[in-house]
Amino acid sequence: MNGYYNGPSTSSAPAQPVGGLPGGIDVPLGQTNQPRLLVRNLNNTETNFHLSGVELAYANSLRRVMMADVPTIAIDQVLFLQNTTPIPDEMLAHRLGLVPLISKGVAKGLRYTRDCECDEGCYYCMVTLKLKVSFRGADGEKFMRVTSDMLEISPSPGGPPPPNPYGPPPDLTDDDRQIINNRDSELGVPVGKGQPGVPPILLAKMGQGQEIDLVCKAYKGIAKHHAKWSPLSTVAFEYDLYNKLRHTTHWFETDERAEWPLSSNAVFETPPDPSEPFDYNAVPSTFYYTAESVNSIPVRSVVEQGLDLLIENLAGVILAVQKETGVDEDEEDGGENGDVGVVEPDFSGVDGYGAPGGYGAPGGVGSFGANGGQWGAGNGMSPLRR
Amino acid sequence: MNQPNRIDSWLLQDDEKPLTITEDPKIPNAATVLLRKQDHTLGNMIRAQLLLDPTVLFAGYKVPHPLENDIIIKIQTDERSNPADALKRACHLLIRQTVHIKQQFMDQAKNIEMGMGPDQALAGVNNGNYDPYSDGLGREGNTIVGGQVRDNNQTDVYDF
Repeated sequence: MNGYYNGPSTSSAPAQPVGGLPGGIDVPLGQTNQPRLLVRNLNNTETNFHLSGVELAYANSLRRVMMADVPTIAIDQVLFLQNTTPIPDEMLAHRLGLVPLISKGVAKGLRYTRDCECDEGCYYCMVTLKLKVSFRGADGEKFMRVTSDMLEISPSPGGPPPPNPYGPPPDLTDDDRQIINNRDSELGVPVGKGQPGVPPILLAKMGQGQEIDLVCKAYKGIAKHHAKWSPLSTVAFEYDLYNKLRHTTHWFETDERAEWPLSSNAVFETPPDPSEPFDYNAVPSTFYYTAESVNSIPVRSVVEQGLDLLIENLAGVILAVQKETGVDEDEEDGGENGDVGVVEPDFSGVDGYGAPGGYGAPGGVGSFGANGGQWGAGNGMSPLRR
Repeated sequence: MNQPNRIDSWLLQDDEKPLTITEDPKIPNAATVLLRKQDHTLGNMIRAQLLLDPTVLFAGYKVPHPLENDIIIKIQTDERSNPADALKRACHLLIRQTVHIKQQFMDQAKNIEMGMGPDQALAGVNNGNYDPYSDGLGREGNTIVGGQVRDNNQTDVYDF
């Protein structure tokens, strides 16, 4: 399929009306701007999909955004009260940071600490975990394994008061209420804790009479800050498996095919015909992704949030251009409620997209994605604290 | 440590504008757009989309310095348009594509989670004529729709 696109837009590919574009110029539909997606496999941990009809640059952006821009939570600060194991504090803190924590709904269910009113973490922007273990040397065991399963969640300060049916309703802002409503009950639990069959993550080994007592603060973050916040362990990304486009050179000693085995995705492509001349006009157009989650967020939600983030960033550029050039003044102050970003009057009429909410609101695209929403909009931010 | 604050690589400062457009003093309809706190993710995508625009004569992007988290996009258009419009148009179209992709992903994900398998997908695999999108673009004239395959085939079509 790569580059083997027959003639102009044919058959069942929907002829999308391209109207309402700035300047009234139509961009012709080609083989790289009519996206088609095929999800081949999807479970909580892994997804495998084919994306075709987009530019290579776009496909790569999707890969980048899924890896680096989707927020999760991870342990970021560790307070050591006691550590008498041979593992240095720094090493243990690093290992704790890499433990994946359940971050479902973190996009809406937790604040960035820099956006929060608190000083150094509260219920609305932080999950506190405690680890307190000691080993007395029972049953003739020489050492004990300290694992991620021993991390216990403890309530962060500044949470909402316990519900009291008789008293007045608690004094909470709308923001706080939204966080409370979207907060996942398992938020911050180490992945696999309490699930039989999921081996816990080994943090340290402890000898007789040794002790660890520490308090961890887990914050929301993205993988651009530190890779521990990445929701994905792997994103496999490939295209043009037979190297028909010659984007790469396969160095080999004797036999190219034997030394460069084909990927499993190669069955979806036609092998090259050696008699055919090189098609220098061909462009890559089918991209094979395999995204593997660390289970902090279901992988489906990672893909959806990644796409939402792309939309959000692009909408930000449009807004900024409008502000900069001063045109469409009436459109840019459409609303601060997060529902209207930029709404071209005839945009929602484009069939097949069905997003009357405008693309400032990722949740408007479809309602069942639990994790649509806004990520750290940069406005009204208090000075950075971390 | 003199390491710059990592948050600064993607978050705008309070007083920072996300973008500035500087018109080229010599070339008509040409401009340099400076996007702050952005990287290849946005730059490359926008550049590629700009090049599909019939009015765009030139589009390129670069990260001027690896330690500064800004990108610049240079755009030149013909007289039918101007760089700002072209940039807006490119972003509009990219958003449309993204919305379209998300829609398809959510539809198919829903199907899979309900145990139906991706609709009409993988229909042709067992016949050796793989045409995942059923639009005939993948293989010449071999569009096979799910029903037919299911009827005359022994194996589970959705066995992926």
